[in-house]
Amino acid sequence: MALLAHRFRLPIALLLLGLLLAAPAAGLIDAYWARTVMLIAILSLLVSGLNVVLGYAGELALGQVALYAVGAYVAGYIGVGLGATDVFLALGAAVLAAVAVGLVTGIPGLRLGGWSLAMVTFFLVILVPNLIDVFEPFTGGTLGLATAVPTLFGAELTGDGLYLLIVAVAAIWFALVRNLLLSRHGDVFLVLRQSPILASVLGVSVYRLKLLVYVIGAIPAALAGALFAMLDGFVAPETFTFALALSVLAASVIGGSTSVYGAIAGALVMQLGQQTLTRFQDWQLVIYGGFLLLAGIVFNRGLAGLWHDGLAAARRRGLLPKAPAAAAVAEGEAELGTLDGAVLRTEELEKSFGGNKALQGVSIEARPGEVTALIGPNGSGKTTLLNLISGFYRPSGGRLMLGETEIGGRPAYRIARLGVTRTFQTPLIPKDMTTRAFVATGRYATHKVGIATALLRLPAFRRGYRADDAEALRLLRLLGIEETADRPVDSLALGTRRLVEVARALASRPRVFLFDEVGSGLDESDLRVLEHAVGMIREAGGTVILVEHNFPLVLKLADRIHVLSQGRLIASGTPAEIQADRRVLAEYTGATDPADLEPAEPRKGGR
Amino acid sequence: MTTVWAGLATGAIYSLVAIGYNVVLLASGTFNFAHAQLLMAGTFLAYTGAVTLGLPVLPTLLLGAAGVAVVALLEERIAIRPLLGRSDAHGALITTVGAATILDGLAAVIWGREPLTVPSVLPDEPLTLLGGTVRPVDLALIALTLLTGVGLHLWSRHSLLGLASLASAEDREAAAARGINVRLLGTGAFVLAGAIAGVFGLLVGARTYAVFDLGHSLALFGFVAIAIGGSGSQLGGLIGGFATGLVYAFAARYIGAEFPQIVVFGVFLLILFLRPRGLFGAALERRV
Amino acid sequence: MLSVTGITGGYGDLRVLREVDVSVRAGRITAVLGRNGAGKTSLLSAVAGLLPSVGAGRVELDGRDLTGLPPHRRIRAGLALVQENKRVFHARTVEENLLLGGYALGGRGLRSPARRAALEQAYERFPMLRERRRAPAGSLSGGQQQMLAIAQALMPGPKVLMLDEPSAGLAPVIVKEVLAMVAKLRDEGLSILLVEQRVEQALEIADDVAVMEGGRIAASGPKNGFDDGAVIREIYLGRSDERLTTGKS
Repeated sequence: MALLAHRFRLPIALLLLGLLLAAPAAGLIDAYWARTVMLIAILSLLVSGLNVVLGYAGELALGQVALYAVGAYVAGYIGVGLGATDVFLALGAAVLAAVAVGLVTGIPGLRLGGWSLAMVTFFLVILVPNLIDVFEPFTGGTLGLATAVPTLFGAELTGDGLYLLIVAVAAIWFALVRNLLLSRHGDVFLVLRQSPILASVLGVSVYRLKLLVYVIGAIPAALAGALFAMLDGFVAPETFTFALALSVLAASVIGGSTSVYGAIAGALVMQLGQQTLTRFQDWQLVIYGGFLLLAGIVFNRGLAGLWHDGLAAARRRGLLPKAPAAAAVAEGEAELGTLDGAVLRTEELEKSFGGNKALQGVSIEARPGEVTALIGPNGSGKTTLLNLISGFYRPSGGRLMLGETEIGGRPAYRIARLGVTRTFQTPLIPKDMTTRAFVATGRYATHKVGIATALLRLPAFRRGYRADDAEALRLLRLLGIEETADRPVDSLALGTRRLVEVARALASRPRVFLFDEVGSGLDESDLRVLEHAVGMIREAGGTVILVEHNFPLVLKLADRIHVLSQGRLIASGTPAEIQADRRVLAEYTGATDPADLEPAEPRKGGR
Repeated sequence: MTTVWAGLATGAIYSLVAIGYNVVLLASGTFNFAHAQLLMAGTFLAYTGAVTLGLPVLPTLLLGAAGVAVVALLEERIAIRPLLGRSDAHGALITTVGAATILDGLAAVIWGREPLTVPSVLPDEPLTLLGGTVRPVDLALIALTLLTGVGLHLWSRHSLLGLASLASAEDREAAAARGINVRLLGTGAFVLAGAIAGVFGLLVGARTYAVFDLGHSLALFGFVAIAIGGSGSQLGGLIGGFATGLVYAFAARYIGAEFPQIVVFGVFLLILFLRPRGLFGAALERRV
Repeated sequence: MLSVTGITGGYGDLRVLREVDVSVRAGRITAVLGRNGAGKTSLLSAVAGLLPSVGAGRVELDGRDLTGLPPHRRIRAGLALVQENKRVFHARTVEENLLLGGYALGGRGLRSPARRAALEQAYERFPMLRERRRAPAGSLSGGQQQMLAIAQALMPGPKVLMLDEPSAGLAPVIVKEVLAMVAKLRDEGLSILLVEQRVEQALEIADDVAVMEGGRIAASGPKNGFDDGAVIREIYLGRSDERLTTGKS
């Protein structure tokens, strides 16, 4: 996303917004078009909320319409029933109510993922008429609720004033949501959608972050509801139908769910479609459904995706200036500094899957400033041990200690926050992100820029970003892949991806590193860089645990080697001891007569 | 007891939806959001067969079964098949909602937006049974739903195709390596689910009317049934559906006409909150 | 019996196989050796039709062209695959697993005569499975699961059996048992494509050898060309010994 940040975007956007705000007063558009603009603004708020949830948290929420109703009725009621007509009060109350509804539905709805949130929120939409009935004294039931004239600082707000308010609220929301999504938080949302496993390695509680994103998505829906109540002066149940929910979903996928401004494009298409096509009413459901099918199957990035592709194509052909690369960060010495390594110890660790004992009574210790290698044939339990340490499996027995803290059975994100990081055999690399941004997500657990700071782009945001970027760039330089910093990270080759993962792991300045088959798929030069990096972590005082098939690499890097076989530890020792241990080599290669195997005397001059 | 009968009859419909979800889920791993719409289509075809064309019962049932099976087949081809093999898992989330919406819309265009009365094929005289009254057609609905659910359960454990479906639910690739045609199995499941929905159109329609947005509440209550009974379990879905129907009927009877949906919603949230695991989508430990 | 020529393929953009040629003679064992990530598992997947994207290449079984066929057609044609990690159906019983293994056999019923006969044969070959026939497969030990997986693959009476690291995660005694079983199957006339990491033991029973590296076949031929132990060092201790001599810096 950050790829697209241009310098000249802000003035143009402000100019357009100014023009739009002034349009009715200046007589550029008549009342019909002013109302259309207001309706598009309101619809785009609804769609934007869904985009945040669907496009960034990867959860389908159909309940925008219910939250819309909540906003409308709350704003309407406090105006009529309590006499609080001030727009800020109305908007504020609507938002609070929507957040409450978001929590009540999100907490159970997000427990499982998949379809449960979709169903909970769908249910909410179907319940709207019921709830309006039940709360008839407040809502006016099926007859509807006439709202009071909204006021701003005591002055009544109608006509052009209301227009200004609605467009301004929408503009402010989009500015805020842009600031949020084009920040480290937005990057982490993207990771969350694509790989919950990676998110937990970054120290993120998947459940809580999804809940947060879902609740954030509820806010614009409530704002839209409150604004709608002000615009129409009347709220009735017929507005909040499932058909509207579907049109919001269709608008989201047309515009492109994983985008900020796609919501506006989608809302525009939907609103104009409804107003101009006379046969639309009869066929609207078929049309919405068709859009969903089409978007789901062929163009799942929506209009925003087409726009970005168009921009990229124009740049390639030289029709547009290239996006300026982010300014290089001050040169720093590519050194790691010191790491606060911790002792990681397993005591009689056990793990079984059904009747299959994957790990039995394994006790190892990994110390700071040392490289501890785990080797053994396939299926010997190496990766199981790694998954236990990083919290993806719960131990069936024994203890797992980080320093003096027992970490066995804790969720992965908590273990990550305690300073245990890892890489994966097949690197987990997200889409739509630059290498630099991805490496910087490694710092998310200690990221000091809060959501509010990011929303408002306070000075601390800039400082935090500069620090993140500088660190990311420094690590990339350390690994000799600085030139990939501004490339999309998923465009990199396997070998480079591994190095990027190492950089991501280093970015969190962890206490314990777990490397899962980090050498596999690397060519000689990449391998050398990697060896260098592991050496540096060790020198810096980090605790390194290496699971590796490449025996020469292990001999070269490890201070201590543990050999696993059939889930048990069969030998531990220094590389020299292990190399001399014929039993180990026999176990490893399956030699029946270990004497066959000369312990690989180094031959001079290679082959 | 009359309330119990009413609850069971409504619950039978929810069980049917849950059964349909499960048939497809087991064989193809897809949650077919549009299954309730297939049942809706079944009620309309029953109306067309019995009223518009004036067909006797058997041809009407056949029309429903064949018609809805074809619709389900089309849905699988258009909304599910193109997504197979894609890494992005939530494509089906969008496309099955799309398919459901298209079916809603087409039903509204073809049959209009007003509810149509599907005639009851059995005498309308209510029976008195176990101290409550129940219409024969509702009794038939309950009995046949039970029969279908239990039958599918037994079939899935004691037939080659049933076992193949359970196996491919557990590990699709391993199933393919055993010579099971997993694609055909998936398509077959859609057709079977469609045919069942079509056959029941007549009985369901007699209880609910045929109306284009029937699918919405059925989808929800069918899902609640699954949440109660556990996904992929035919017996669980059967019980979950009846339980949901009973909760609905008792809430309507003792709390008030506006409340049954709200009460079911409350139960749903509670279940998701208290017993999320083992309900929908069992969590597998091997995930790295 | 089985001949694979010029197979290229992988997962999406990721190419893991590059023009791989390998063949199995009738009634012989071809062992495919190589380091982790060399493409051995992908090769078996490609032959079985399970690899998501296969670019070029040809798979022929007993003179019949299987190229482009979906997996179930290949199984029906006489190919069998025992996947890595003993992929049996954990929730199903041993007997159900075996019956599913015989899915490709004729007859509509679950216990058609053909399947019943194959089941009886499997129980004779692996008496342990008969004892545990009603137990869920997930409750078996690793070694038992591996035997079940092999028994499953044998159910339809294949012409070529492909085994992916059958020794992985098993105790040495069991490994011996499993590999002895593989040799016995060969002696009964079955053609076998064996992917194995225990080079020594694989070489003991193999007739032909293919060594993979970086998604290609680095060397192949009859076993006696690979007998001197050099191949093991090459595979497991790295192709260039230079890495060893550089040592720690």
